[in-house]
Amino acid sequence: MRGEVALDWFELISENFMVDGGKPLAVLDAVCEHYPVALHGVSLNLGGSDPLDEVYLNRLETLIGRCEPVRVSDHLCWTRHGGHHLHDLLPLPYTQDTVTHVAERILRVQDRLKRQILIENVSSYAEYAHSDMREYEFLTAVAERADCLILLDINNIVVSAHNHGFDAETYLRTIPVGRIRQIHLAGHSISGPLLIDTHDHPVSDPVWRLYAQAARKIGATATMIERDDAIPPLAELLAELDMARTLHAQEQAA
Amino acid sequence: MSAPTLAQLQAEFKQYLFSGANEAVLADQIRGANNIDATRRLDVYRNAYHIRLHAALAQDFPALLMKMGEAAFGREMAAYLKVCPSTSPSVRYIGKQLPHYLANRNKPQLADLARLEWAVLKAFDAADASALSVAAMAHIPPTAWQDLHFEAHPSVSLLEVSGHVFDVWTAHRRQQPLPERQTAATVPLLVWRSPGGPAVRRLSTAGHTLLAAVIDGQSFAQACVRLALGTPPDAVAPRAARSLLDLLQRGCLANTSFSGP
Repeated sequence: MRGEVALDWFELISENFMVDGGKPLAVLDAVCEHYPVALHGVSLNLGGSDPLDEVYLNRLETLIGRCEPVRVSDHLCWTRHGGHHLHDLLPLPYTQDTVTHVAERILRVQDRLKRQILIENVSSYAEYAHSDMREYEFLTAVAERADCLILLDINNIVVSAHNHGFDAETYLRTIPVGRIRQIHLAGHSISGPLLIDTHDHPVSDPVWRLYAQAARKIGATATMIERDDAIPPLAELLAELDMARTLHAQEQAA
Repeated sequence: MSAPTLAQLQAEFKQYLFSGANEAVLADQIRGANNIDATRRLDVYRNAYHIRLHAALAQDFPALLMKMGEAAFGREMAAYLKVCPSTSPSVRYIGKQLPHYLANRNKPQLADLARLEWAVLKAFDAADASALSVAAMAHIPPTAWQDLHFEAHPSVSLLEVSGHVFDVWTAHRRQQPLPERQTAATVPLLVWRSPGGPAVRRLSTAGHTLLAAVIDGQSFAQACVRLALGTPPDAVAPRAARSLLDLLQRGCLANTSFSGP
């Protein structure tokens, strides 16, 4: 962990480091010594109807103080109800009421952490009958109202576009690109008629194509490839990352 | 039909993930676009919830999984998650209630095994603290030993489990076949974080007595009194010293306090 791997920065799952000590914090300190880090949370529950979890926010604040991350992000979803954590990124109804609710919670978090946070679009498999806007309109409205930043997951756009029948390019055209500060790429799997965001495959061609368009539109943006399972040798992952760098450079030069 | 509030929707969704019993009610709230019906869409979430948490429990309690077998472990964990859903933002703590749950289900050996594996997890990421060194003992004035109190390192747990449970855990760790023979007697175990990671060691009777006294907040002198019960008088001091040295050398004591200069 001396900066010898060809990586520009590390993304750390915040909750994995909300522990008291031991190896996780030793690893955290070692990474932070040599690389910039971004904190990426999965349990902030921005879209929940439970009150924001003050204990969680205290821990996040402590973690931020320890590693001074370049970015702090979580997801545009809900993850907890009635005090129970569901450990999944669950879908929200896309309505004006939800925009108001989620934006107010993001504002409170940003006020508390004294920084803008990034919100990430999630893969979804179900939309609610009473939603009256598209996901990209919802993301846009929340980001504008909360004045927050965006972590754009290109794979999640492809997955949700397939599952709900919207146009991925329209998504990219609609959202406020000036707020995008980070990009996620990942692979997905096919389960009958649905695409599932499993992070256990190489990045797919449709995701690379949409990434190329995003790179042209957004400009230089920190990009990360998520891989949680069936992890290939590091060389293969680094080759995928090089592909992202090359694509990005080509689109910038075009 | 009026749209549900966010809280109503989330309560319904949570109930669906937990039991699936209200599937029809929740499916009514879901758009079945692209010829993919609502229940198929919801299945993705329910399956993912159970697969993810089952995998976390299997990772945290591998010896328990081996002892019970895949099928029985799966059934027991499904029942556990209904009774003890997660209350922590991190899935790391999903198994926190499992030893207690298994004990309540009148499965004492499985509860012991879960307790041992949970203590190992605790040792992994418990708070850091400087270990008290053997050399530091030289600076304690002789008169202070009477009132000397030690503090266990935050990673330390003292457990008493059946000998069979320890044999099962050891066999799993060594990737050996699980023992058939039941050994009923309990054994005292020390679990702590060694420089190489979490470690488990069987304690001597004297080591058990001393560590129990430390954890109870008793002084070294009180620990020696406890040790004297059932120990020949001339063996108390050497056994206490040997046990103390053992705990110090393993980094299991974090602090000491005494009154006086």
